[in-house]
Amino acid sequence: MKNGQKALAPESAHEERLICGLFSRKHGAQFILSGIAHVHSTHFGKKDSCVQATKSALNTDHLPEYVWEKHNKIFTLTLKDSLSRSEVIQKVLNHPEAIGKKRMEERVSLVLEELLSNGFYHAYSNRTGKNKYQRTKAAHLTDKEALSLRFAFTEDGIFIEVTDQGGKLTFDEVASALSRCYDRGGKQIEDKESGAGLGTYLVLEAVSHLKIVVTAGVSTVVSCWISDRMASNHADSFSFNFFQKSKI
Amino acid sequence: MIPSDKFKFEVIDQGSTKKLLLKGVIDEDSTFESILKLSSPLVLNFKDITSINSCGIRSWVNFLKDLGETKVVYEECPPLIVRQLNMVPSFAGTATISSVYVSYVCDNCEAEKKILVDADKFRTKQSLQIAESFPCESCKEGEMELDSHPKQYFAFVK
Repeated sequence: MKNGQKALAPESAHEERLICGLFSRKHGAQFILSGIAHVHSTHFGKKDSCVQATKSALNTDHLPEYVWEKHNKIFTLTLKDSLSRSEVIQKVLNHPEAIGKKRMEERVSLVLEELLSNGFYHAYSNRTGKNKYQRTKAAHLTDKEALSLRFAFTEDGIFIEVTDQGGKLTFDEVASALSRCYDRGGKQIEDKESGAGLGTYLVLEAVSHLKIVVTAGVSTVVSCWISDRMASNHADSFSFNFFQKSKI
Repeated sequence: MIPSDKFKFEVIDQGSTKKLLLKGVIDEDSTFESILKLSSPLVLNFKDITSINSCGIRSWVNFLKDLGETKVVYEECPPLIVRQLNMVPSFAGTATISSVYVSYVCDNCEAEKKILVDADKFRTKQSLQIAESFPCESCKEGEMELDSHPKQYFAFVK
């Protein structure tokens, strides 16, 4: 925690897994590692609209719809071939509505690459429980495995959402990956065939808001909002929300 | 030019040192074996690197380990490389950073400009000499403002 900046204590049992205040992403990762699934770093404290949305969702067991998810024009693409990643990224970057977003290209490209790669190479398992698709080869998903990409452009940022049909990701995996990466020590990069283990960390560093919704065995929905002035304005403002939904 | 799908480099012989103009994408398919064979101090120019992903970062860090004691200088690092320097300390290893690009955006017309900044302007965190703004040449009305917080952008400086 930075000097003079505190995390605000939860007000009710519902909020035990929510923390808000003003802190760095590194400190946010420490909260996440301690089991807190809803981390909001904001200059506005509990009055922040995102915090309010999370709080109301925790009290009602419904998923919140954050401001950055509400758009009239959301575009959708479906992906089955991992080799189409770069083509899809270019489609988003060169979209007619992306005018004026050039300064965000690097971050948008990185976020899309990591989210789509996670979808292709980490969302599906074979019978032995290992990743069905190997990182060293092209992945060709079946219809039931196809990834869905939704994106929208606003005046001040870009909304991106990637959905897989595996529902394999767990909160503990995310927490330990973020903790390992923010330690920035010798174990920051993993030596696994499936990847370097940096993806979620790179995404959290590049976005203003990150929301993960997992329905075990059904789907993982990762959505984020990338602010066009994130670096210069309110650099410490961000949110992380992990929701575990029950299978219907 | 050494042929490769997404990652390429051009070698410029500078006597005892070789300068490599790196181009394209660094990802899981990138191999750096032909650079290892050069066996001389290297100046790596990142100006034309367009993208790097998490597996590319790992490949690069392993490449640096394979270089061992070879003296390495990074020059003309664009923001996407500076981002890696800040997030993944081993991405630089023992390399010296000689220059980086800093992005500016006009507060009036949104014009963008990348300015190359030499290491003498960011030798220590305490002595950063980075202009926070300057008049926009495009619209002649606005101010080109730094597109990042200077201390965060230069977090890689020791």
